[in-house]
Amino acid sequence: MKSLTASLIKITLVGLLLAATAGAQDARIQMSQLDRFNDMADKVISVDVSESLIRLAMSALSDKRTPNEAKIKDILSGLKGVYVKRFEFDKEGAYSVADVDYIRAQFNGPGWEHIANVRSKREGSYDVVMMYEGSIVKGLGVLAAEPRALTVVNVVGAIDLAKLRDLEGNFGIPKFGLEQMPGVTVQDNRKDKPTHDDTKKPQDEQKKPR
Amino acid sequence: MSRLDDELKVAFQRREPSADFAARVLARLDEAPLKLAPPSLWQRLADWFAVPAWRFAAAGAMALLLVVIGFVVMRAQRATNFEQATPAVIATTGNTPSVLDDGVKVPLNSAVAQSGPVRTGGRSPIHHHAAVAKAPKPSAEAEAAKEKVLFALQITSDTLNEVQRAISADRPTGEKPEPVQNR
Repeated sequence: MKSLTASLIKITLVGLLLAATAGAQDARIQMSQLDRFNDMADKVISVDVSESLIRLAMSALSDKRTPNEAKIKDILSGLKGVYVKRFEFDKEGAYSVADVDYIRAQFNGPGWEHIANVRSKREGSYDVVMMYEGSIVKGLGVLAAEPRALTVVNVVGAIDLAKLRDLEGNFGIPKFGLEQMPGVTVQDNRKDKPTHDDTKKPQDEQKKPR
Repeated sequence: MSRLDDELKVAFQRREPSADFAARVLARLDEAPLKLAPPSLWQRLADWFAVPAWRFAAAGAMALLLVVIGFVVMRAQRATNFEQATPAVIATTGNTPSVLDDGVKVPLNSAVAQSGPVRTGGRSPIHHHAAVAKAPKPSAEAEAAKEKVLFALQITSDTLNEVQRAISADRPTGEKPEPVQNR
């Protein structure tokens, strides 16, 4: 009888631990399968921002210096992580439906709520999902599967999209030096290719300079 | 001869000490060790001034060195405080002074001096200077982290804008799209 009670207590504890772990991590999207495009893609952008890094970044932001900094600090205050992967290809069909479905299957997992789905043969397909806990956002997932580019964005933590939109891209990010940062990969494979490829740049890159 | 001469002769005549005189003196010396009185403060002061001239020269050089080091450290400290304070002073007052109250010059072509004017709440720049000088300067790691986080947010924002554009393009003309936002 004693051994049965002890086993039940152990099982309950393990269950609670697993539930707590799952609850803390379920807003995180796994993107490791996409790493195989690192060598195939013309351009790779990969950014992993952990919670500790966000806290460190907040120490460099001031509420009083500029209004934008105050807004950015407000946005960051609820975040626990930002994970971005973007692959740009020189031709269409570089990634398969299975790659997109790998991400989309996670978007269909428990807790995620679909905010926007766009399916267009010309433009590509876009998915926006959010995870809520009551009225509080716990996570955001964005998948942009364009003909020549594949982008996955995963924000973990409370994010206010209205505040993000208010910034209108005014983040004041320097145009240089990002490649040298640990955790940021901006890899341009086009440098190694013949020059005739440069005349046929992807449309999505031309319309969206970074 | 006078009587005085006789007395002097008696007084100055040589007398040999007793045979055990030397032994007795040595025995007394062994019995009582010599005790010297400690030198007085004035004596010690006088002894110190009696040192050779090169010691004065060394002490003077040491004092001069300490003064120079103190001056350099003070200048460096004031320059650091000024660098921390200037961006916030300019941001809050809109002034780009070439010289602030501590007399350290600001290059007018610097990024700090080129900041745009921002309305002040009526406080003097000196007050702001003193207030913000206490704020610690963010470390290089924090600045790098800030840039990285902002880069990630920029991509997030750009991607969401792309989704917005795609939704707009997908809708019939004339229909205004709902922005992607929180509940």
